[in-house]
Amino acid sequence: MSRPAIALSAIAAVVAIAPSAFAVAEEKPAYTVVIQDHRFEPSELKIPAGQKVRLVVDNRGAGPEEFESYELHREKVIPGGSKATLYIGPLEPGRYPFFGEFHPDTAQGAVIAE
Amino acid sequence: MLATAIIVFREVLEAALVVSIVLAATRGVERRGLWVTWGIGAGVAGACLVAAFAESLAQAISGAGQELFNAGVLLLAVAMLGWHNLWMGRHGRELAQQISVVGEAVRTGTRPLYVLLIIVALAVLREGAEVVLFAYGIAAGGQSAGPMLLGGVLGLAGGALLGLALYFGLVRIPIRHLFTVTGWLILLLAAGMASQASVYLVQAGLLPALGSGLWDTSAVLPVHTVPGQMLHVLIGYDDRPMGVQLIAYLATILTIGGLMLLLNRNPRPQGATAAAILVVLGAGVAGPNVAHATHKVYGPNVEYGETEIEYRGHYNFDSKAEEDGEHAHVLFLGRGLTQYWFSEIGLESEKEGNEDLKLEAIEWENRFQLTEQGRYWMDVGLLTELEFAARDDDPDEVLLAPLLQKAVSRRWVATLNPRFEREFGDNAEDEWELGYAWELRNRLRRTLEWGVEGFGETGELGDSEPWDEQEHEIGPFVSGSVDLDGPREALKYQVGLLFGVTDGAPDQRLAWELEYEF
Repeated sequence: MSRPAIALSAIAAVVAIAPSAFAVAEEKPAYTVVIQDHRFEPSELKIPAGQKVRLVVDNRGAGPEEFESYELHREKVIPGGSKATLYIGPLEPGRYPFFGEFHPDTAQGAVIAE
Repeated sequence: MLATAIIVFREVLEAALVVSIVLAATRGVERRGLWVTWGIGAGVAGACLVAAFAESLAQAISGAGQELFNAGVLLLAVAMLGWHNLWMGRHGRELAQQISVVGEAVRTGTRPLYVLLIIVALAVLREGAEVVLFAYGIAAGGQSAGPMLLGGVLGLAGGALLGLALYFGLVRIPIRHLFTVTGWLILLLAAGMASQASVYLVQAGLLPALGSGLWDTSAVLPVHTVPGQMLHVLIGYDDRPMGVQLIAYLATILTIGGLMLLLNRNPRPQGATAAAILVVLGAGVAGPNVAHATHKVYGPNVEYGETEIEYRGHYNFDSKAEEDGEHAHVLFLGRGLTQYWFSEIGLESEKEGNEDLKLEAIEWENRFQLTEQGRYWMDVGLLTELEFAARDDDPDEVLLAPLLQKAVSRRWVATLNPRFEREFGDNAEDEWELGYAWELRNRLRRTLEWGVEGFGETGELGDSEPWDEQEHEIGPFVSGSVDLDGPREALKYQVGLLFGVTDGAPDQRLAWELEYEF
């Protein structure tokens, strides 16, 4: 095997096994936020600080919504009638607002890490 | 009208060329005019028969499944146009030679005269049948009969006149260029038809719309006005397109256009010789070969359903006079097609050395998000890029780059893109080259972020260049995003100043980027 080939396969291997190598247990604490009538429920979500958590966003509306938060550094489109899983944290204690890009007037919420 | 005119013009011109070649090859043969005239007549009659047949077929199907039929006709037209473009590019010259040989045979008496009739009749029939099909395609796209007829007459007149003029040597337009231009026009036309076909398939419930109203320019340029309609037919313009239309459009351009670029390129022995001489003289072999004209650090995350128009460029300052003032620009159109796949296509132009600014390449970039953001210790994505050189002798390029990102703290994000590039096609170097791009970014606020970024090219993978011939650059940047009125509508900017660390890199480089998202 030539050196370039070895280097390339090394990279390919890293990319391929990255998910398992860096895996954290799937069973991180899960929190759910429901989108209905262009609102988040609950609109304020308390999570423990300093921990990675799994956040399930359940869009029960007919249309798509985008969960967006500059503070959490997340942007994710969730098609109508489907769920998406986000991973956030570990967070310092504080308030992290999020909103729905498609209906910013009503779809407002915040994650509170404490 | 214009669409019909272009197609009829081109088909008539092609038929006229066949006729001209036959006439030129049989000069001095008695009564050849008569045979050729009968050939044209038979061809036109055959084309009319095809038209009549198509008409009755259309009527039989009308009502039930009209959308499907329209879509079918449009798609068939797209396929024919594409095939036709490719085939003419590749075999046009061969065909002309064959016809000359046959003409010669007729002249010397080894072949009977009626062969002329058959050649001409077949050529006219083929072009005529194509006109019929494309005309149906245009009609299925919603164009009314009057303007089409006018377009057809104009095209016929233009094509016939040009054919005659060419035959009598009155004009000497390089035919190859003429066909190149009409070829690209027809490509846009075909893409517009594909987009229209996708509308019918959505109406028939066979395709998802993938978002209605990607943009709304109905206030600025409504599609039902004359200029709007012209653009609609010519390049497939729509004032409130569905997502699927854009995909159909881009897919057609990419497929047919890419094949046109790839297949119609002739191997150029001169090019190879020139390259060999350069190598012998030892010129032009120093330094990394694969140049990426513009610099960008890519993150691994993809935004589903986001459409993006991106322009970026740079300007170099250098103590070496011939490299001072070089600049490059790229324009990209892209979209998040799924939660994990972002695809974009773009054009790259560059001013190098003492040359003028010119088109370098057509690029197709695909980014794949491989991990859910924040799930693992690091976020991972993959960038693939295909670059088709605009000039015949230049090699094409392929790039693979893992996209690695780590949120170091609440505000700091580190990103690294190792880049593996290689050339293929004409005059390609048989080696992988290693480069990199990285940034350390402070997410101060949405409208203003800042950080440090670096780019480099080290030469052949595993056998890098001497340090000073490598390119390494590093420098600060600021960037940000301004929200606009629409949902998800935003304008992003980035400006950076890079300083060359090695001699191979420009002393300073000003780089900028503007992105419109919706």
